[in-house]
Amino acid sequence: MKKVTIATDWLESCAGCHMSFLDIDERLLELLESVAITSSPVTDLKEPPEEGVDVGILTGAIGNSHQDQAARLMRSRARVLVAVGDCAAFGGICVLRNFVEREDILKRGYLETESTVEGSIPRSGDLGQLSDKAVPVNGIVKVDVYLPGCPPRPRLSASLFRNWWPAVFRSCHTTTFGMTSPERKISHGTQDHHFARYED
Amino acid sequence: MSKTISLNINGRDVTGTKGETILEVCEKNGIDVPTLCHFPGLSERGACRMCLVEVKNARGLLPACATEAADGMEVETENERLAALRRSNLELLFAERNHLCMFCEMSGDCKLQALAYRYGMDHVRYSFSWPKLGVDTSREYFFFDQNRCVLCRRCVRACEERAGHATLGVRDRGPETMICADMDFPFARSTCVSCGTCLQVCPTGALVDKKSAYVGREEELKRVKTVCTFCSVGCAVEVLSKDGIPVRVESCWEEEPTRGVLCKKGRFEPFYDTRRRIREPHVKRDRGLVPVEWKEAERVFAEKIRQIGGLKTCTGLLSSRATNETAKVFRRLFGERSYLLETSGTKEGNGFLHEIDRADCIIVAGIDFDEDCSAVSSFVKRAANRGASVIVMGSAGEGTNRRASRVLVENDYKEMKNCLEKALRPVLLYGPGAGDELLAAASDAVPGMTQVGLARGTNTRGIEQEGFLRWEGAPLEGPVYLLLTDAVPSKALEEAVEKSQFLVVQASFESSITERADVVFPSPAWNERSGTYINTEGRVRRLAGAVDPPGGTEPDEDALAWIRRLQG
Repeated sequence: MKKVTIATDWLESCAGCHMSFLDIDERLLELLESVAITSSPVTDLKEPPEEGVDVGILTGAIGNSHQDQAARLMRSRARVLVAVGDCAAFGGICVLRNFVEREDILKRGYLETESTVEGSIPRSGDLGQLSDKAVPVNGIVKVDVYLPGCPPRPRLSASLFRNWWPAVFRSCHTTTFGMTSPERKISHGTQDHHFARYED
Repeated sequence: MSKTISLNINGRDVTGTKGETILEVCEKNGIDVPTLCHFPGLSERGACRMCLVEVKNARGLLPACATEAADGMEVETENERLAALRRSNLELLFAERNHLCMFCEMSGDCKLQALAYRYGMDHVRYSFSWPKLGVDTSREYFFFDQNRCVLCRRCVRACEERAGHATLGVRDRGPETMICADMDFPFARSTCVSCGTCLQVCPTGALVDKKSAYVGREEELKRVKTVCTFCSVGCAVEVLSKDGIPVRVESCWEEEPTRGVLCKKGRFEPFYDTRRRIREPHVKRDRGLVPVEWKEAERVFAEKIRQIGGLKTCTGLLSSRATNETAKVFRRLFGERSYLLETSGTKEGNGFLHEIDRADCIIVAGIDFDEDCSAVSSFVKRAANRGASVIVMGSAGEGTNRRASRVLVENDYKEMKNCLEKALRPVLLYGPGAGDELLAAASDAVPGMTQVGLARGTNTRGIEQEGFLRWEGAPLEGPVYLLLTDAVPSKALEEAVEKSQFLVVQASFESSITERADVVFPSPAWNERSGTYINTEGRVRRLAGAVDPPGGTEPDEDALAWIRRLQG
């Protein structure tokens, strides 16, 4: 049987969601029998392969230009995109900065912290440019499946792949998505969603 | 005669009473309808749209909380369409303001969060607004955070309908709509009296108590129903504690005498007491007071009492915070020489406070609600809200005066009589400042009219029934046994006992008097006391110790019991 290919990436994230995923412990081995992990922040391959993957996983909110690109790249190469964690689903702790002007944040972070001596704001073009607001993943690209939680419990990460994932995967390809029924713990993205800045 | 109606809800035939809302019928029949702005005992506003239900042949969806149930109605409270709409509604609420559960004090107890879980809101389809909103921390005991407000207006209704203060209101329209105090003043400069009624009804973390924030979730707290001990009204309260430490006081909505209204003295101030606790008996030695075992303190006490000629030479002074049970034992010990530190100052009336809610004319005399019995001001203000005439004789405190229909000169009995004679159901509410002349004038105008006397102190009514007389402030040079409980000693008392030959103090907290004492015994504090009180209306109020007193502190009456054994 062909293995399901997976790519993961973390955006504006504390890595806790990835940690939680790894916390499924020995169930990971079981999972690897049916799943192939292609790229992730902790493997040699950092970006999803050009030929695409079945499932793309994003954790964290989107707060700078690099994260914006990474999210778009993942979307373009993944058949199903999963937003894992509160930051990816709602913005989480990252959106706390949305109440302060961008320049003020940079000043506070690089010049004014109590431990900073002669700091400077890095302005190199190689670095990602901080966006005006941090937004959840669905503020930039279309998301198919949401798994919120800070972080989602390992049990949920495991069952995402073991139990729900085959059904999700099928529905993404064969049917138009319906509204989620209230007892379903996980919902699909729907075609009539009005995304804030949805581009696909 | 109430008429029974039959409805079909979710395919089930149920019955209700004519006049009930769909929500009430559902609740009585065990059908759970999601609500957010609904709060039992407050008027219905239909502001949150969470309880929308499908009624067959009705135009659109109807809010269950504000729609009267009718005979033959066919109602659906849960289906795919309603779930989707409720989820959309929640998403709009979450997108509108800054509901960041992960750092909110209410996380776990929040009604909004619970609904989001219930309807599986795992993402928000609308773009978040992230508005910059203010937090008002100007009040001493609790703050108001606009970011977490869902504009359900529970606080506004509670402030007006329950507490009567009508401080809270709403300003502007649309996304600019904000809850505000008076004409949009900071709370500390508004007419807010910090009674905390709004705090208790808030479904989200918009109103947060500073002391009990982040100390634990509702399910981790133990609730004990007891009675507030800080004035003679004796409001029903619940003390919430965690691991034996009290964290918060809440009121009981359905309990007399005040039905959910408290004042800041009962709800907040006890948690800000900075006096040092007395945890064990102390005896005066050369180098001052030293903590000793109970046995040793008892021995010193017994020996000294024997030397000075027995207990009958001892004057007993009792605080009005003591229970009836303590007063009984105290009286038996000190007999004619037992005195009450402060007495009621008013005779008991013939009515109950709740009768004010039916009165059309209320005379308020001889009481300052800013100082004493503050929760009663809610009755008066509620009456003013519904248009009853409130006549204040002299002053009843600034907040109440402002709401009065008329403020008369203190001894303008003639005008008072005029007002009373025109009234159908007048009530006289009088405090210790009202003279006999006023009471006589009122009875003269309307014989047998409803009167409620507000007593000074706490359990003064109960203790006076035991035959205690008032200590008139005379200096006490002989031996004195002072049962102070957790009360703050007055300056006069300090001076009176200064030259006492032998001073024994039973108290919860250290004070200049305990420093001066020869023997000190610990006493349970407000939330540790059990027993009964008689409140200002004459109701028997039952206190239940909500937490255990520290160390070897015994109930006051038990601590007195061994002295009796000593005597007999």
